[in-house]
Amino acid sequence: MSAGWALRDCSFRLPAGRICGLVGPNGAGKTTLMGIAANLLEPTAGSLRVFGAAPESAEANRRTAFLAQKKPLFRLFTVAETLRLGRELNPGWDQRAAEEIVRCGDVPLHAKVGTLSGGQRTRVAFALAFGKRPDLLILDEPMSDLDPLVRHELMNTLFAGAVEHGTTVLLSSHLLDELAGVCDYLLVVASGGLRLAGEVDALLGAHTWVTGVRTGEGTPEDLAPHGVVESRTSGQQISALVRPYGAITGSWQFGAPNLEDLPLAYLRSPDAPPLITPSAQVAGHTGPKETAA
Amino acid sequence: MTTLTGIPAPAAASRSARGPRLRGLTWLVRRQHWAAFWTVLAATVACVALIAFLRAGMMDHLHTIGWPHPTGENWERDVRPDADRLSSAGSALGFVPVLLGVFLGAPLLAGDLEHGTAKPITSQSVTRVRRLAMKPGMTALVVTVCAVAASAAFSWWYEPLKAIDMPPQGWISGVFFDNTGPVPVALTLFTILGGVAIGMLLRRVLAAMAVTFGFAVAVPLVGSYLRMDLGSVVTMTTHQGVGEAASPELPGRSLPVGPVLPHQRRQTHRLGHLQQRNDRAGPSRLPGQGTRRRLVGGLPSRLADERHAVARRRNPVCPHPRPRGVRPPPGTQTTGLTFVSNRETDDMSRATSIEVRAPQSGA
Repeated sequence: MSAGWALRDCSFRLPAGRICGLVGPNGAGKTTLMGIAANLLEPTAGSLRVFGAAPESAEANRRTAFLAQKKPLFRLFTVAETLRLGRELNPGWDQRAAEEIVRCGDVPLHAKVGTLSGGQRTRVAFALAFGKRPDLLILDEPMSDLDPLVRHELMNTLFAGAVEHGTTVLLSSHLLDELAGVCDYLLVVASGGLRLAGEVDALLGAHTWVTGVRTGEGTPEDLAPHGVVESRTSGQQISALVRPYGAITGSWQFGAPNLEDLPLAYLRSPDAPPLITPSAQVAGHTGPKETAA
Repeated sequence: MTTLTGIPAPAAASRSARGPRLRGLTWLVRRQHWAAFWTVLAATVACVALIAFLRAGMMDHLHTIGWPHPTGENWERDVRPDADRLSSAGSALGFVPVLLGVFLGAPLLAGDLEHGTAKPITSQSVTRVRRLAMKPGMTALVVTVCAVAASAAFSWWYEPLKAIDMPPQGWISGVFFDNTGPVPVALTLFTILGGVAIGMLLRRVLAAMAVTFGFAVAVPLVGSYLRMDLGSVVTMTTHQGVGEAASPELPGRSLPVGPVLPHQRRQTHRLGHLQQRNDRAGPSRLPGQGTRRRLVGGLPSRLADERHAVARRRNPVCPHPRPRGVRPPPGTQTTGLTFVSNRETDDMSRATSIEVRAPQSGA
């Protein structure tokens, strides 16, 4: 493949009913992965299953909704017509939910989509995806052009809907703090490969910040038997993000990493071994890429 | 802050309230392209109305000259403006498939692909096949209806003139061949669906429109080359002395393609006039010589005159059969007479590929 791999060595499963954040640097393959799940792209190699079905199957198509990064909508349609589009093309359409999302932003129903602001258009696109009442909702950079207030409101809508209907949500974002309050599952992809996958609590619990006095060059002896993801020195102080494989000996101070530190540390250290929790591991590990939502 | 606890509205109730309007993808395609569809339909209605108006005027005129059995010395000259009007209308209609291919076919799917609006549709609960078939399908339906109407109207307009063998070239001419019967429908559908396919491949509206323009112009051009193969083309070549007496008899039910001689009644053709002038002026000053040399293919330029004729049995355009067979007119110096005829025509098959050589005293 001349353009290089967008995504490779990436096998995981996403359990149903989770709100999963997909994190990675630009060009890591987030959009590619989402496009494959939404049946916009076909993988060069490997396979992806949505609820056990191929993404191109009618079953998967009916149960999946996708909100693309650029939120493309028909510019000449009015907001009401855009919602009618969803109603006409989806058997399980939830008009009330879609209209409520639009109304909360004071978006006039009879305005042409082309005349709306970026944030309002995002809201309409969001309503179109949400009104489908999907079992898997894929959101590619959904919040990038929303102000914090609206972002918070839509996230709450998403969260409430997901909890109520058991919707699985896969959303990609650059804004790690935004994911922190919402996601209970995390996927980190970098340079085409999977770096972290699993429940947020399990991932955070498996790591610890270690701070202490630097005694020599390189990795301190006390930390050597453990997995050091990243270490930083400033003066005589060394602080490291460690995946402990047992009790850490020595005089160290411990701290809990947050959801912002962890992906960044893994993205900065391409040599650190990936961590994939048991719930995210694919049984048998057959294909190079696999999802079971 | 919002929590969505709404129950999905009962689908059946909301459907019945909407009544028998278009649903699903049909609604979407109509909503997205209604302007284009209505333009095409309105233009067709206007075109048919105009044809009806022009035909009424033509019929009034034709009845004054005794149609369908015209009498009088110069009735052909009287009919000529009517025939010319028909021809120019036919030429104008020839651009319609190009217009529709470029402005309706090419952007149909390329627009969605370029602006990303194919993505929200892909995300809805409709299958890929239906999604891809519905747009070109509905467009093809609208265009077929319009093309059938336009073709029928034009044929209806042409019918009275065809009955009196005007204009003389009849169906050989692209103007009539491409605008009557099933040909315009097929041509329009082909350019539109070609444009759709080009748009799908290029995924850019402007590029697709440009390529479709070339495609739509090329299709009838290629067709015009193949059109003559529907009959059998007979080329007659005589050398010098092309006067009234030198004109060979044309095979029965044949239509002249090239120069027409005065006594054959059809002196109206432009090439015919040119030919007569050139005959008087001599072969070396023939303006159309280059073309004509190419037409005969390999025959030397000293050949001063060619006649091309299409011979075809049961030709509806020329219902009055003339005496069959081709014979060189007496008293002319004939170097070559090539003649290719339809092999299925029994009495003409014997004459297939005849070459007659007379003494080359005059050359």
